[in-house]
Amino acid sequence: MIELQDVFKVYKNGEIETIALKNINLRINKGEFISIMGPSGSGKSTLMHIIGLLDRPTGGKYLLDGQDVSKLKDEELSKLRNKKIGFIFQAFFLLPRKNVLENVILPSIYSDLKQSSRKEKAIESLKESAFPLNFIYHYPNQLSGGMMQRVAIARSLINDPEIILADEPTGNLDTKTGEFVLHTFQRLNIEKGITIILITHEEYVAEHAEKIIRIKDGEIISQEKVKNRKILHHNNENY
Amino acid sequence: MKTIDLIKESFDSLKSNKLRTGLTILGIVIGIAAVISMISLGEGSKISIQKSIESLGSNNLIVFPGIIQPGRGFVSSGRGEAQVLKKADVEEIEKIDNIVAISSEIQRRFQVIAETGNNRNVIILGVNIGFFTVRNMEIENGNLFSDEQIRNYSKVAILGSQIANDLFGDNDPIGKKIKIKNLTFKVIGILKAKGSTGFVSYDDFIIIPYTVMQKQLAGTEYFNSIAVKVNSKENIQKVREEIINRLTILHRVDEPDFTVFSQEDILSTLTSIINTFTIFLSFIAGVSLLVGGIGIMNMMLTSVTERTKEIGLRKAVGAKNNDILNQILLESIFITLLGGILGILLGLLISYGVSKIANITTYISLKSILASVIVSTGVGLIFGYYPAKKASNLDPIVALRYE
Repeated sequence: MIELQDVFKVYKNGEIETIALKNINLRINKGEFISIMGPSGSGKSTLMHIIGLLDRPTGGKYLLDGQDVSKLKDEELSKLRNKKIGFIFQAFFLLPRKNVLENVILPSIYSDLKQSSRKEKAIESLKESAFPLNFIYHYPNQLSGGMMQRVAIARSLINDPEIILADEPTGNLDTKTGEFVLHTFQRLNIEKGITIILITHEEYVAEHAEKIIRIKDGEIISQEKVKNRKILHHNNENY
Repeated sequence: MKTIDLIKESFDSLKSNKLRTGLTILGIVIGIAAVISMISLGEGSKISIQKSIESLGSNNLIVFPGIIQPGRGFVSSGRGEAQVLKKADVEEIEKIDNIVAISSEIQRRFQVIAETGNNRNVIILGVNIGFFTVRNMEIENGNLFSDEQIRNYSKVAILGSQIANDLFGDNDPIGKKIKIKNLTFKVIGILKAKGSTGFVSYDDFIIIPYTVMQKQLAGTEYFNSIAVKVNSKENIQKVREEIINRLTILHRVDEPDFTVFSQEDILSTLTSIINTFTIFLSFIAGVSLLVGGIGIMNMMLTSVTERTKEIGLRKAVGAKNNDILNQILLESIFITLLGGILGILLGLLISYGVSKIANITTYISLKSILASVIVSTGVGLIFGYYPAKKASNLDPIVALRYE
């Protein structure tokens, strides 16, 4: 469970202070699928970084599963990220020198996962992200955008995260493959109970979540349930 | 993060730019090879000097006339001008215990003509019987002087192997005549070849009884030097003090008007000269190692900058600062370690080549190999640390946004 209490984030650049987030009070339960929406510069990325333990709030408290993480050391944050959080980025961020399998395995080398079970676990993750298994020895530059995002999803799954943070995951994809990725998130959310936090500026994408949190000028302006949620069809996902 | 993963990740990164890695390794190879070959040259010359000095006879003390001032060395002392060592000195030294043999020596340079008509300007050394024991001289052919021959001013000569060859060529010189400054000498023996000892080569000398030398050739009663062979290393210092005391009293002087050298003195002087030289050469070689180290730093900085996004991603998925630090450090250590090993091999090859082609003794000790492995790894650590630290301190958010 994610709980933010009166979270502030101020960036200092010399004399100038920029308030990126103010008074953020937010609660995301385990197994929820939410979207964070807002125009660029609204602070949604900062919020994602704080939730994703890549950044610390300037003020306020962040409780992750009841633990106050706002004062933890870098080392401990790394450990928590590795264990609990999977990241998906707009630009995929696959390592070009590593093949699909190696890319998926990457987070596990920083975890306790035994070396002998890595490959098996990676293949399992690739199956869950619906990646075609005959491509696992290909390199990222040999894959389409949709496939690369699947690799990234598999990579985020390898350490069995509680939370997946997806930052504009469909931004670099066409509508159809984007839809497909969103459906994958829904499936992971339902089948594995993973909390999904989707950051986007597109209404259509946001509507795949159960709840939309709107943010503007560093403040939450609304939290509402999605009325006509775009839900996946439970038939076979062939890519 | 497990060590095996660390090694694999480091290795993968290095492999991804083989040319750059190779060139950086080359920088270290050259540096280490230069250091190794310079040290091997220095060590080699030390050993060859040591050997040649020991071949002159060990546990020797040499008494020279005149005082050798500290700092001026003994080559430039102008010892030929001081004349203090006489037969009485030899007899005085004979009274001292623990002495195996005494060699009283007087040398001059004369024109020598052989029966064959060949002539040379040669150093003639007048000696007593003790000379052969003290200076480790052996006869290859013919005979040594007898006591009678020395006492009776016999005109007999023993030739160094080189001079024998120069004067007589293929002919056997034994029994033949040579003329030294109008006096005719009979050749009775040839010395065993010894090679150069660094300063003198007895192979080029002609040895005659000191009595003839003093009386008929040089016209003096003085010696150039008296060499003393002591029975054991432990007694050298004692004998030296005894000689100084006795001769000072004999000469009726307050301060000794002669100098006593031990072979260790000469050896240590030479060794210290060679050491200085080796350090100097190694220092120059070390500069190239330093340049190699800077090459590593340069490469690692470039590579860290290129991999900013990758580092950001690694951190996002859970790499700790230390994981990144260790990976980058290991990459640079790997470069220097491989460079070090190849450099040692190249250094061995160079010193082998030098010793074959230039006929110079080279010696590579295990110590110098270990030292260069440690030094090169150290270079990797030192020059890899800054880039590694820089990489590990990257803010993952900034790194992921880096274009």
